[in-house]
Amino acid sequence: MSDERRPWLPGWDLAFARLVLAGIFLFAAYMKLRGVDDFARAIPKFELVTDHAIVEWIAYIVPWIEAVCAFALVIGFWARAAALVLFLMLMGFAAAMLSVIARGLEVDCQCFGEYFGARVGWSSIARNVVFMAIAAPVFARGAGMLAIDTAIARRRAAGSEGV
Amino acid sequence: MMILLRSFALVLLACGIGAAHFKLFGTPVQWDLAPNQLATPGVSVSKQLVEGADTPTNVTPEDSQEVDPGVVDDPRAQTGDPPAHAVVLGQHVGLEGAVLLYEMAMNGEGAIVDARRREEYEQGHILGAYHLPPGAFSGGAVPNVVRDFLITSQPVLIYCNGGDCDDSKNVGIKLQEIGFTQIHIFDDGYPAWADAGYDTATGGDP
Repeated sequence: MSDERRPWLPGWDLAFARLVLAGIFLFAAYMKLRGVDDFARAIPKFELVTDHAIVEWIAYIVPWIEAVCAFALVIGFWARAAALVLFLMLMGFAAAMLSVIARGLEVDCQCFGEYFGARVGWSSIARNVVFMAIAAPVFARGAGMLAIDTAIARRRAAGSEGV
Repeated sequence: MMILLRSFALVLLACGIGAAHFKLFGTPVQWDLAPNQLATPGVSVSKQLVEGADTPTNVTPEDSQEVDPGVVDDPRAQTGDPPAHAVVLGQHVGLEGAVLLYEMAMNGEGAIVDARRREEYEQGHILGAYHLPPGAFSGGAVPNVVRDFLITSQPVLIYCNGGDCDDSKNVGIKLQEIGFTQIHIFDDGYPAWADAGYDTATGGDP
């Protein structure tokens, strides 16, 4: 059956993008939560948020946003919404990195906890752009194969055909 | 519109879980190093490091071998005052303080820790320094280097690349959590040490 007849099932490419994105963010969330103190200490170095009480909240909430959206992508439930959230987060991170570079600060990224303790630089921004390029088609076109969203869409279509 | 609402719902759910995690299981973040604990006066005063301003001594590579980092035979030690010849070192030390701690480490009375990345360490490090990046403590693990080579009661000199580098401070906090009481951060880091012509080494762990 062709994709024209089943627009909710565009192919394996979206499922692949969705799972890759989910894997990246599940890993990032896990590493941040594993060393949440280190992540918290890295945040004020960006000199965007320096109040320690706020930083502590950010340090706990940001990894959970990543984890919840990644889980939504894995099961393909509200995948477009999850991809949008991650896309916007990546954009925000890239903007923060850009401001760090513009101000000449030397800051450790902590994007993946201590796993990649690299300094924020153009390569970090390029990496974010690549991740955004993976998130964009999922947001624009949907979950693809092996997703709850797709199963729901298929059932609705079958129901309307039956009517 | 529906996607925006769903996005908002996902973020809200994550905020709820994160807030619960923070409130139920979160521990206060240690933002900076705790002050070093001094050795008990009159008990172990030899080569005792005293909190305070950075060392007043001017040590150069040529005469550093002649400096005794803690020649202490002074009655004031019994009263808790800094001994007359004790080297006064703060928690953050400059090049001179680093040299004194290096000499102590060479005499087996302390240790040096390189908190930078593995490739940086292998390209060049202070002679005798152990490689111990912050990532080695991930998940609350006690790294083998700490277990096998470091002694909690001895001074530990930690450095990274100087400047805004935070790795040495982060390692210092981790070591304090384990029980180390004399942490000294070499603020200028390896570049200053190498530029001054002091002993360095390349390759793996000593």
